[in-house]
Amino acid sequence: MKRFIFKIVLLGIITLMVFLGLDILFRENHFYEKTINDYRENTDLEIGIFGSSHAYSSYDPRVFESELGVTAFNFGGPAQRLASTEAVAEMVLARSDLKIAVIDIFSMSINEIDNEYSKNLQLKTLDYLPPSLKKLETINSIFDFDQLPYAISPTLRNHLNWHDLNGFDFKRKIFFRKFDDFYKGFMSLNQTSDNAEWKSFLTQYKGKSNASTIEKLNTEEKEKIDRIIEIFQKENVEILFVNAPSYISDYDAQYRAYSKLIRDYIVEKNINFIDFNLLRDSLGLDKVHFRNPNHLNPKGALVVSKYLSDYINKNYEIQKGIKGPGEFLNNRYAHIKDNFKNTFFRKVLQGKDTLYAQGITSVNLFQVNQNRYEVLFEYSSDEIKKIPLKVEYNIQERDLLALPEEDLNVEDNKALTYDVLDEADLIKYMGKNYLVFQFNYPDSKFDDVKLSFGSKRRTKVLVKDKIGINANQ
Amino acid sequence: MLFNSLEFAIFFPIVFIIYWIVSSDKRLRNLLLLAASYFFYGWWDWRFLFLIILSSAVDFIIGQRIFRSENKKSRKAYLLLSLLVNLGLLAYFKYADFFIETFVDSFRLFGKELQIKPLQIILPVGISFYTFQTLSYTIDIYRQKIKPTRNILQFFTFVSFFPQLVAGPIERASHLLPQFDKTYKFSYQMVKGGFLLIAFGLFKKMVIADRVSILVNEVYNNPTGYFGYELVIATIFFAFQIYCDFSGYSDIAIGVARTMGFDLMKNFDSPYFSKSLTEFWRRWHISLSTWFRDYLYIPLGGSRKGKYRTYSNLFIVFVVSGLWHGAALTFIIWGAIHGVILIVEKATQSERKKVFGRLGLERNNFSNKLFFGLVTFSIVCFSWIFFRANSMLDALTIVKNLFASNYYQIFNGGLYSMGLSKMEFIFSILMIITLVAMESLNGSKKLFGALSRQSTVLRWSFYVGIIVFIAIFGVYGDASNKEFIYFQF
Repeated sequence: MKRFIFKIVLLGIITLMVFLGLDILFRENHFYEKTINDYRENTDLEIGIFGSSHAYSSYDPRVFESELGVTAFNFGGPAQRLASTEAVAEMVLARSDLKIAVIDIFSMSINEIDNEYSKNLQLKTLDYLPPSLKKLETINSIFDFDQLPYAISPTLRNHLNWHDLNGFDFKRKIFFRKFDDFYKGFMSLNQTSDNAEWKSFLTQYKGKSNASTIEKLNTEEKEKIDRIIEIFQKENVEILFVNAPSYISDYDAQYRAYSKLIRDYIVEKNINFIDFNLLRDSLGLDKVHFRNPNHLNPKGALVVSKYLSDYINKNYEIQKGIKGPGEFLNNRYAHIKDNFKNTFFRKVLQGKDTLYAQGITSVNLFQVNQNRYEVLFEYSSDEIKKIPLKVEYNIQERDLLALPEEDLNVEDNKALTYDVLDEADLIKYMGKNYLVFQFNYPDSKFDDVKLSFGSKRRTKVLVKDKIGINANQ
Repeated sequence: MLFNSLEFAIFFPIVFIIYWIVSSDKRLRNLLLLAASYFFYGWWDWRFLFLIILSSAVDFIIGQRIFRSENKKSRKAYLLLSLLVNLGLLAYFKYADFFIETFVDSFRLFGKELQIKPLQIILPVGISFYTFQTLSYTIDIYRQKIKPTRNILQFFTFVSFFPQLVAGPIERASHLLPQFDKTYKFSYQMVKGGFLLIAFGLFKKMVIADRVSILVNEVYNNPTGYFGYELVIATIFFAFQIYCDFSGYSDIAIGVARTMGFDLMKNFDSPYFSKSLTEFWRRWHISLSTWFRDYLYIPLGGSRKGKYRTYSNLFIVFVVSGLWHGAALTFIIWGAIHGVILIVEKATQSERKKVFGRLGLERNNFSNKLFFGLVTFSIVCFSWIFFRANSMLDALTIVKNLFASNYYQIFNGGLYSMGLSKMEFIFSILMIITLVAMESLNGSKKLFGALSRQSTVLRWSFYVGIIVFIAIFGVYGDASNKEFIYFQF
């Protein structure tokens, strides 16, 4: 019997180890995997941002790093409730000497999770966290008993998708789509929502009552807030609660009422709270800063993050300037601040350049993520002229499946991305205009990329190994 | 509680551990098994526990009375009482609505509309199995083949023993009941064998049965939308689905019992390798077919009262067997097909022998085995159409459309538009081939024997591999058809 028990325990442990490995393969492709992978390589940080899509779309670590000279990281996940944030916080506190926790909070963060869709969205965060008791506890608090094995193990949950597996790639490359803008967990889209999206958004609220039925937070909701405060305060981490700007606030009385009740409850506990919905006008945020009515785009995130950096600078004891801008090599704002001293490639354009005639005064190339590069065009004008772009490179077969479809020209195994720089790509920082363009490139050797500007006839090609723009070809 | 459920994955290890802790105390152990069995059964619907308790109590008392009574008439009266209670329960819960509907339909044929509505009775899971098991007990006492037990705990545990309670094997008291009076010592090899059998059963159920069922359900639920080869493939897949489903359940049941030292009877013996329907019924659902042989065919006279009486007895047994499987005309037709073909086999036995002898077909070589095996398999598959079809009309539609001439389209991609993707379809075929190969090598027994002779690394890789294989390639979760087919019977 003893022999049997020993063997069954051993078998259980081996099987568990195998499953933990398989879970990596069976996890769905999601940017949160990149968030956690990046964090694991960069645990030295001072500011951590937590919350839902509001958090990951609104608070850009690049701005904190550039403005305050400290490392920041955004741990926001899709529809991440405070229950899931607890598990994330535990992971961060165990690995990092965090100084300030910025927690985005609104009604959804504390409401009871009452539908399968929202439950499953929590897994977009929890799947990528390392195994821990806290993680299991969180999953147990969200899911029903019979859902637990599926919630815990992506292998069990996604086992029917085995035909979608792309080999046994435990360290798969994560590629972003054309408009994605990802940096240390921050994730938004270089887009502004169009009229149809606004119309559809407003239709949702047509005829709805503008009166709130919520009068006070219930005990469970208060407990959720208390628990997250306790988790950070126990580790002497200062807390700042925030509520990201969202147009829902204008139309949903319940949302507003919740925001007020949450703010009152938090302020009562002598913890700072910033409701960006109340600051929207003073910050000059309008529709052009939103990728959709509920989420900011990078342009909007820059405004909000700049305000937040100043607020932290004034109200929190944080050692500024631990790192200089030259140490943030993937950070566009740090490069701007550093006058592009450390970019991978820089070319200042002059009068004879065609691009110069279009308002571009310099072209700056640097790596933003493992497989992604950014070209930052210094732009002298406020008026946007559309500039067509094309990126082309040869791609190996193993990367073909991982790349977004829009990057692929499968016929000749070439990755090909087209884009047109426009208003949505324009950011303003330190008094200057910049146009942002990002593209995927899977290889570590940057040697066969062709970046072309303009129409087919007047193509300008950037080739890294030649270090130069072949202007006026 | 289903064997392939999370609840059972928690329930069984707990029972297993406590069982071996208390195993030296026979009474305590049986008490644990009884409590566990009632918990297992009550998980579905605790109210139906009263039926098992009633059935057990009635047969326990009647068994004693039959044994003590020396008067033949009173012995018979007690037996009739047992039959009345057990078959009465079965008739009420399983057949009442069927009889009402048939009654109303037959009046409708003559233009008379009766205002009688079906009772909408919920069928208690496993009622067909445990009533047959308790009946065999009283009948065997009546026949003076066994003596009744005086130990009520042992008897109640025998009736409700959870590994085989809901879908068999239908055990005989003479085989299973004495096992509750034994004490068992923990044997590593025995327990390991049990767990391997459970794994093999789960493989059959989750990897094969539940995957091919996706195609079978798609086709059989839309019988007018499929023709020719599509229906043939769906029917062959159903043959493997029902085999893997039911024999998988039996393997798990036998394996679970074995981990606790109990030996349940073999229920399947590679039935699709049978060379005749007679042989098929010696290999398929053995516990039921032997039950019908012992408690219906033989009492009817068996083959002792002339050939025509033998044929009619055979026919009756198989029609009743059809009815046992389900209260529907389709099941009766399924039973009748088997009955008729068995009669033909019996009636033409000597003539066939002569013809086969002249044609050289009587030799026991591979090609003959293959030929007769395929003929038998085709007959069995044809009868499965009636077994699986949702209604008699559907079954007839399928039979009619079976001969549609679309076979030339078989490789035009149509194979992969019946609910399974190309990869899933090919995988299903590969798994079926693997199963057939394993069965032809004398199944799991030889495999497990060969495995035990391998190095520790290989054995352990196999153990982990089979768990991982089932986890990845099994069908479970929301998309699965978790229930075992035979639960409905």
